[in-house]
Amino acid sequence: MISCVLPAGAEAPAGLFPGRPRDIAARGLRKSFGRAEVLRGVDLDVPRGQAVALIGSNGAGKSTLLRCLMRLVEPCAGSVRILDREIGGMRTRELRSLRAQVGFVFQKHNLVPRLCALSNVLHGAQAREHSPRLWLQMLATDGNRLEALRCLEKVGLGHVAERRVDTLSGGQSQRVAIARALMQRPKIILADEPVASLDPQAGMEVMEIFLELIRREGITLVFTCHSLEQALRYSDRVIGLRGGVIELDAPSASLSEQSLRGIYASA
Amino acid sequence: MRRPETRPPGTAGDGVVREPSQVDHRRLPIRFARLGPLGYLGSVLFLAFFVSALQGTQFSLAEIARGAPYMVTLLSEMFPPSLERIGAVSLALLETFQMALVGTVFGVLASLGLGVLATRSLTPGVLVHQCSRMLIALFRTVPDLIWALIFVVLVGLGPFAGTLAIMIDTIGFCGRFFAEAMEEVDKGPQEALAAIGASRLGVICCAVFPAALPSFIGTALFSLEKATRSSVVLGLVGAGGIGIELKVSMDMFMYSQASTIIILVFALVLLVERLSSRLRQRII
Repeated sequence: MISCVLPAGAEAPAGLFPGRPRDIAARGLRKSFGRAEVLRGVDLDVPRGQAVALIGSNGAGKSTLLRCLMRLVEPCAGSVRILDREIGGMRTRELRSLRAQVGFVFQKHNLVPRLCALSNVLHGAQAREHSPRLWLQMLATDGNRLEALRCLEKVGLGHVAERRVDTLSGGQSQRVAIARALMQRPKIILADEPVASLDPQAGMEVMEIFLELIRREGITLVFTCHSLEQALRYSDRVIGLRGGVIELDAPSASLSEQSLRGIYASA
Repeated sequence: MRRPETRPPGTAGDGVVREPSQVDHRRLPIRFARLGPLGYLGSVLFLAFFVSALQGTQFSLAEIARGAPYMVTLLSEMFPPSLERIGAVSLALLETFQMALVGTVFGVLASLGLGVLATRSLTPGVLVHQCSRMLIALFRTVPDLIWALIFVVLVGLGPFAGTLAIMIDTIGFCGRFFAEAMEEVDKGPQEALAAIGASRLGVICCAVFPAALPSFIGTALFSLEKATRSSVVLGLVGAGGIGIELKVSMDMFMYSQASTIIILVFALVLLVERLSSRLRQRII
């Protein structure tokens, strides 16, 4: 058993940020794929501006949890409140408007390969404006183009705005994906193993960008990762999942890599 | 149960390689898989039908040999090509290409919409998907000459009927390939845009169309080549273009003029094929 497992009913380290509203609140979240139960009653509170690292071995339910939070995967049971809105019974239109405020960064950056970086970043604005002028940078207004360029500059890629994203490196592509998320003007960013496909140096650069954004713009961040070092270094709080339940929830400052290793021990 | 022997062919189990004459041929693997009763019956039926088809089509090498001198006569009458009506023929050729171009462009645009409805992952519903697939199949399976006949009745003789026929034929051709291309594109960018709340139209236009663009362009250019060839024939049923000029020349035994038309058609089709090939290489 891991030393810092929380006893049932104990105050989770959401209390690291006292007085702040809870951007994410999930209760009793369950999800099964066929007979495989991936999430088995997950409770999660994330206050505004907190950076949370989700760790756990493959199949522990990290990615499913992230997807359930935005109903990219429909949970079987439980409730989720995002930005103080219950997402369970939302209609498509309402869900879209909520998703617009939540950036999602994937392990594989999921950019449109034939388009330039600026067009890809502009797509982020689709969250708030459903205008055909956002389909391509050549159609967009100067205001939107300028904002997209600023988002690219924030991730240090202003100079590649006109380059096709399939000519960029893995690290650069992931930074463009972050810029696209920023173009949404999000209040929350969910990142599913954002650095898993990058080399250590590029991975660190991407995580530094995340950290800076959280500190500068007060965005709430929940990210999954397998690197214990990164989990501790770039988060305020670490949550460990094992077999679909939260087995560890503690402030990063109180943890060490050694103490986190237990979460990867076979259940 | 007795296990089959596994020693290599050509050896007697003692590892010594024998001369080919000494090899036990029964031990060699069979060259062809044996036909089952159904396969055997199918092969016999196919062969029987093919022989009857040879008779039905009156296929005869003797007839070809008998016709050879007439071919020489025909070719001698075709050359040199007549430039007497080169102006009128050139205009008809231009009209032919105009029909192909306009028909293809409108056909491709319509195929984009119909292709989306026929794409399983993008269609708004199963019924819409099935109906659009059936419509595309109808457009594809009915030959363009029949569409031309129908449109001649609907809009009268002339190039407009031919243009509409080409458009329908293009929808049948492109609709299917566009739908398949959109089905095959990487779903990641679509998921990413859906995750940020983009509308269905936004996802299609931002993630699906750009990813499928090389396939769209390739198919559209093939379609233009096909339409150029088709538009020549459509004139035979009065649907505009150079086909009617060719028919009149052949009917009036003006073979030297017919050869001019055939050469011009050949040049046009070749030019379109070369240009589309260049464009494909450049864009894709």
